[in-house]
Amino acid sequence: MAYHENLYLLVFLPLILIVYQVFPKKLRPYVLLVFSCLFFLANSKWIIVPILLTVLIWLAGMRIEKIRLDAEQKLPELDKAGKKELKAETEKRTHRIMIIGNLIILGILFYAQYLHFTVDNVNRVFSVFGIDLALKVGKTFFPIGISFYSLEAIGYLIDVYWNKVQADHNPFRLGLFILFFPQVMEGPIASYKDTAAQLWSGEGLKVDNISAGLFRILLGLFKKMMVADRLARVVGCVYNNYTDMYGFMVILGAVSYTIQLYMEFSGSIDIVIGSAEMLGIKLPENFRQPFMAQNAADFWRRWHISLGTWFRTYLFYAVSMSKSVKAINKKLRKSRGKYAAMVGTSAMALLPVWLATGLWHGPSWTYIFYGFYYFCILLAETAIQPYMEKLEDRLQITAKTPWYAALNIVRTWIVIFTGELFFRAKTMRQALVLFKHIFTGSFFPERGVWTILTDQKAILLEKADYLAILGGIIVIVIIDICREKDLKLREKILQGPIALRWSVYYLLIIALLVFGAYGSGFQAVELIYAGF
Amino acid sequence: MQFKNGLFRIAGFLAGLIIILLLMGVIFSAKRYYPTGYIQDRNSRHAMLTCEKPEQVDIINVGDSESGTGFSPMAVWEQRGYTSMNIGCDGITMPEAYIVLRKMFRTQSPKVVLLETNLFYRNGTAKLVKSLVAEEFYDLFEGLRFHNLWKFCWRERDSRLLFKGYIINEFVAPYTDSPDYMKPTDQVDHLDFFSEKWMAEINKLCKKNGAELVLWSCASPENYWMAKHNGLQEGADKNGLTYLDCNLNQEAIGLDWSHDTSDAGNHMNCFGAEKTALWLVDSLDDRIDFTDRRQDPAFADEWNPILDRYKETKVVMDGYYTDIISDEIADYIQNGGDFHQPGY
Repeated sequence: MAYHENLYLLVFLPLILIVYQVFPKKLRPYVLLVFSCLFFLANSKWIIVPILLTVLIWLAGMRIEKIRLDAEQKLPELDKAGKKELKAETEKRTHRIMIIGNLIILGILFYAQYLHFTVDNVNRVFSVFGIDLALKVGKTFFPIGISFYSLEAIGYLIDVYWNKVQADHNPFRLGLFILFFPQVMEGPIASYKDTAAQLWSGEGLKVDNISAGLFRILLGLFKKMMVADRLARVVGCVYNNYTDMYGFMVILGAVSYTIQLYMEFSGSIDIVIGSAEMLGIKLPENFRQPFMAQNAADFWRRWHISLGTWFRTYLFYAVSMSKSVKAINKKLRKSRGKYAAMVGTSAMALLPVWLATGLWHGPSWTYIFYGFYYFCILLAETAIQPYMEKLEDRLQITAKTPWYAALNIVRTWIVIFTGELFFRAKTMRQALVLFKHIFTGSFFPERGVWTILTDQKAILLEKADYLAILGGIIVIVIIDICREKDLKLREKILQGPIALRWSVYYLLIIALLVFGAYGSGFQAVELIYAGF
Repeated sequence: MQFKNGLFRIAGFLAGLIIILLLMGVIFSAKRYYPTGYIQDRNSRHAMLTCEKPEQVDIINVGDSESGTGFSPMAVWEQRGYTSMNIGCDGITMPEAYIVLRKMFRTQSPKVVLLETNLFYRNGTAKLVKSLVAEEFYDLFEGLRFHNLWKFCWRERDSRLLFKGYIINEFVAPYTDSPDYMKPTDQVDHLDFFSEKWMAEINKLCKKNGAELVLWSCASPENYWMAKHNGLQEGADKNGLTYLDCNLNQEAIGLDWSHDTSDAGNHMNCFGAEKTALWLVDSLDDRIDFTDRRQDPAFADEWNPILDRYKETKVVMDGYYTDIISDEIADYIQNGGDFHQPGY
């Protein structure tokens, strides 16, 4: 039961809204928890995994708190040296618990996601040296959304250790934070501090919230059903026939996949945020007009924001502020100068972040390459930034100069499309073959691009489907431009007269019901990020 | 605004939505577009049901692609004079079969419902529930089912013809393995909970409407084996149903695996479908009082021209698969006059 499916939208969501409202305030969080468990079970039988994670972080958080409280009680009785020693001991013990807890979470994640991949690669490495290791692993489990709630669990534990949040004594509240049904499958990766209290508040439904949530859900469905599910066929055609593709078709495939991924992922996040909004719960945003980014760094501040925020908070800063990186920075500064130190420390902090980002998406070399690709791009951007600033000064241009801004956006698009070309590929071989096709062989197909695109047997799209794609993209581009210019279109519609509001809703619904890709002739396209 | 105060507003919004859905049904109407050939693929059987004159058929055949490709109503009309319709379609689920039968019973009163059994082994709880929700909505608001008609401005007309639900396929791809694939065994692939439940529900629906439900399995080495047959026989016995298995009666049917399958034993082609359909009705003939309507002008005037066109199309399509030949059929039809589905 995915978020875009009729079972969720027409049965599960209305049912939970009714049951939630019928129950008294005190019991509503439990209603959410029960429905969240049911939602999980409808998608995966491995509910034991998030339950185990919940129990683990609950116990670890409580233990950290207990150690601190015990220490606080003892502190007044001690002299200065004793206090220092106790503080160090407390820090050491809490640090140990945090590390062990996180290692267990990462261990479970590794077992579910990466064990087969690792064993396969170990076997391959040994076979290169003529050793047939033939290590085998039995069937592992793969609970849905494990990559998402594992990070949430780790984040909670580190926050408790950093004293940013108090350890939660209520395991059910923690369980709801981990399992909350709208976000368990696709994120956004929320922090305990921002969401747990809201989830447990049990506030009653409000028509304004339902109205706002519905708008968001309709927008999400529009992105998925008008554009993403149709483009999936173009993309599938290019990648399934990668050995004999034309350069232009490869570029078209990469661009189509990027648009498909944006429409699908941001669309499903719209449904997620809209569902939560109906219940009066505000989840963090995950996208902010990514295709208007001026460079790759800017793109990652706008694309999958919650993942970027997580890695920035819990990995990038941790590495940047570590003693060893600081020491190297100091050394480089002395021996090679400020610039080299800046580039060197950036490289040291960025490399683990981007390898982890790549691997987070799944056990595949294409994802690792994807992470490494962005590491190189971002490092290059950091390295050339001082020179670019000088050049901009000399040419008397700024990032706001229209032609320069447009040039930067287009340049960023090329970076994004190239990255997604590799991201979508099943293997590195497939990605490299496709990439090679751009520069070698015929660029345009002899049959003509339009003939291929409307070939019913190859792509299964009709001319009218391309009109729907175009129309859908235009609508979303207009909405994104309005958001970028902070025109608050959604707020204006929501606060506008009822006639305007309902007209917009009905127009969206009619567009979906008439032009949407569903029913006979369309196979439901599964959510891409639900597989991570 | 608090929830209670807004209930009227929510009700008003939903009422508006229902009006939109009903209007969609008027715009995307099967009655208007089916005869013109713009309604394609799976939906065409639903459209046919909507357009069919009431009380036309004695035999209804339903099931997945095994059923859709394995039963030719025109052969039954030509050889026996019984009226039948094929409403089987690709990948049909049990709830979908139930709902399409429910729809059929609104206008037709068949004596027998032939239910091809392959659908009982294509399950998955979530899939079934999703299918049930979707089909109930499609049944309530027909415009949703035919919403893709908006594309017709840019679409060439469908050149595939439905002959009372059957699409001619004369492509031959022989099955070359042993025809003795039904090796006797005591093993039983039991029907699961949902299959048993839906079988009972469909049986109840048929009984309520005065029709006898008969289970049948199309001959298909790809889809059938003995343990599966045993499971289906067990299910049929539990519900007191007749079960006819073509896989065990290949000789009686006269199947020739070098000629009667279009994809090496997965599905029947037109030749196999004709033989199968005749064997099925003959197997029931002694128990069920089918009426030969060939001399009844009320039926003959409608069915004979369709039979003529069926025969003509078979000549044109000799040796071809439906989709490959479609342009040629389109020419043929256009030379013959206005495009229309046979019988409309």
